[in-house]
Amino acid sequence: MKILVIAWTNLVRTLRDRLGLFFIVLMPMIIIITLGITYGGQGSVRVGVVDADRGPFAVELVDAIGDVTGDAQIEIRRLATVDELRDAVARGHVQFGLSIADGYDAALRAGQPGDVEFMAPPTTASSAVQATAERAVATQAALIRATRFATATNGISFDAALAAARTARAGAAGVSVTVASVVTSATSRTSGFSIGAQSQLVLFMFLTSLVGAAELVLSRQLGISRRMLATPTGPWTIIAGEGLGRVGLAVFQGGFIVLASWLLFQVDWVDLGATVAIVAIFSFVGAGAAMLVGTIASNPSQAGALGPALGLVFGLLGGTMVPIEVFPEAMRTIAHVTPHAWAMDAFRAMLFDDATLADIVPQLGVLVLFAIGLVTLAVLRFRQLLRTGAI
Amino acid sequence: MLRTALVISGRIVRQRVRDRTALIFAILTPLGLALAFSVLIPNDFSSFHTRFVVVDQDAGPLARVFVDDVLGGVVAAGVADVDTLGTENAATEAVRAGQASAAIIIPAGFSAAIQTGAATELRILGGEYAISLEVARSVASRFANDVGAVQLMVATAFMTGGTTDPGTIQRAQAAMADPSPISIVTQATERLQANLATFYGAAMAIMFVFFATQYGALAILADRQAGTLPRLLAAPIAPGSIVMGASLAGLVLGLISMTVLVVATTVLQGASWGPPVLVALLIVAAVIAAMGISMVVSSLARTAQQAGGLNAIVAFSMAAIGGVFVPLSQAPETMVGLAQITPHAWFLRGIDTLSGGSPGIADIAPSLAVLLGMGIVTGAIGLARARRTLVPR
Repeated sequence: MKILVIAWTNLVRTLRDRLGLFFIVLMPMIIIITLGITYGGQGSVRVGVVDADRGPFAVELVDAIGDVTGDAQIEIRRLATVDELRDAVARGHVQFGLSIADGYDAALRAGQPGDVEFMAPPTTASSAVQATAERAVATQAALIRATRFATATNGISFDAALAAARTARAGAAGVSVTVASVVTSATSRTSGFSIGAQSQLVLFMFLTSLVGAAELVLSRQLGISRRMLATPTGPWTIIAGEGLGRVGLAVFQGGFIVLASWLLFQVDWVDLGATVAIVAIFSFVGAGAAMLVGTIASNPSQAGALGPALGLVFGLLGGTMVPIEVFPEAMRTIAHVTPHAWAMDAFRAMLFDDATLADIVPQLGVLVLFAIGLVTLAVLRFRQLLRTGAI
Repeated sequence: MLRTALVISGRIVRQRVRDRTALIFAILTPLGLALAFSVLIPNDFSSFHTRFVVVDQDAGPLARVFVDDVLGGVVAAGVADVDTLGTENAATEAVRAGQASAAIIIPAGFSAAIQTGAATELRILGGEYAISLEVARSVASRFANDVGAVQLMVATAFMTGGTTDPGTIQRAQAAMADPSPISIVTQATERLQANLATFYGAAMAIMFVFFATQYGALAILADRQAGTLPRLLAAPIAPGSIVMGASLAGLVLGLISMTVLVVATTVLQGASWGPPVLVALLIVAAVIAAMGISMVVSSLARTAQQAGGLNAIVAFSMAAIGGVFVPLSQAPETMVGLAQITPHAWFLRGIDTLSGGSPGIADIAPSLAVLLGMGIVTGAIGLARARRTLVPR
């Protein structure tokens, strides 16, 4: 009972602090939203367009580029001037630029060449988009060729020939291009929000715990622990209470991120039982690490600097800021000295391979070992401090 | 007055340089993160390369044109490698195993069908890479379009009252030799994007500079809490010199933090920031902007701890929308618009500009103007508010 009171007091003290609340609740949400918006659109390429003509052929050409039928989405961004377009291309805001000069439509109707300008930075990504733009131009060019040919051959009006060409194109035998997918994995699940939310969950639960390490030092410095010890309260009760406060905080934050991201962005947490297990065990890992830092640091500002720094470095190394896939091979192995990498492994297994609670038992086991190790070290150090009267 | 201000700022700067917390937040953490990011993310966002496999079941002349000329062009452009496989099953396996992003199947009878005007197809088998699949589809469609163009000309002429005699077909084929009715001019643009090592160095520098500039304003608050401020004011010291000293200290600490990062990332990870004079100008402007913002933010708080917390919130929030975690070039349009209210976006834009061929001061003038403007406006508000806090309560 006393344990719970100590834990509760600890929890309330942290939650009353507005800065603490910011890091626990708002910051992860801001990052999830940012990453979600950004990577949610992955698989889409951006084409900047300046359409100075706005005639039917110009509109048709731009629509044809934007109207890609596959999974890849082309996002058309309209810009007002060629200078703006050049700047957007140079800065990579669009991967490819298309400028249609004024008079395009009239030129095509009058048998003159219509001018379009492609703008491409010296990157291979742009050549990929260029293929799409060239296809759209080739399609329109074929239509114009057929129209002009019919006009010249039969002496009919441009519009009549154009209408015929469109009909002929729809019914032409020609060479069709069919696309089929040969993979069946449920990759649709890995929306930008999902993987962003998973990594932020792991990153921030640990980070917040370590930021809270300063609280523990504060308890020691204020003499709260010493006074508690003077009452009929054993050292184990104090340690358990302080630790449980940290665990409660991590569980609260983890639960909040899971719930909010699920409600707001429909993040798929796949297997709720498995997610709860990861959150629960990882809370103990974070609490153990926080208590260890809290007992090693000699004053709150030392803990305040060490905690966040360790939280950030471990988060980065464990693949919560950038996916572990982009690491070089050796780094991927090294990454597994952090509990983060194991938690992320478990989430990835659920997301990509439909793993259930039973499948992620190995990763959970490693996390339990991390928790036991960290808590044991922290408790030993805390007891030592109590005995030597350093508290 | 200036002497007093210098003495005061000297005291604050010395105190913080010795303080390990300041060292960790203003220099070591950003440096560590910049290093780690650039080591861990070796690939460039803008590079694209993929691998296709092609199965030629036709072996006719048009299939050869497609494989040699069309796909050959894709290889020459550096977009993809193309391997030839014997069977469709092998191609499917290659795509499933991720050895190729798409397979293109040319069916038997392909050439004959085109020559006789019968229907035929190019089949594409795709994997999980949407963009690679789209490239394959575009390449195949362009070829299909070209061979379909003659058929379309003849068909259109026929529909509008012509005949399909060999003469018409010949004239249509001859017309294909005419230049395309749509002429394309391809313009290579400059690339104004800093490389990754520089980007992360700059991103971390601008994010964490707020932790350095805040110490000026925090010192005033700390003095007030400790009661040294009323004593300072009792001495023949103008309140203006205290505020000036504190802001000066913030500026100096900000400059130290950013300069160390520029030098360290250049030496340690080969970041290329650009011409030193222009980089220095951008840094000064960015530090002034950060200084002004931390002054305003700190003036909203009553204690140094509160101010520190508020500053951290503002610094992280602006970093998140200002393109520090994700380059703005990768961000959606609305976020790019929103980012313009942050000094982060303007500073990073300036650094990007410096990666161009031969940048001059005119190229970074917009960034400098906005950063200085932000600094002057927020600084003026902050100074006015800070002076008010000097009045003993």
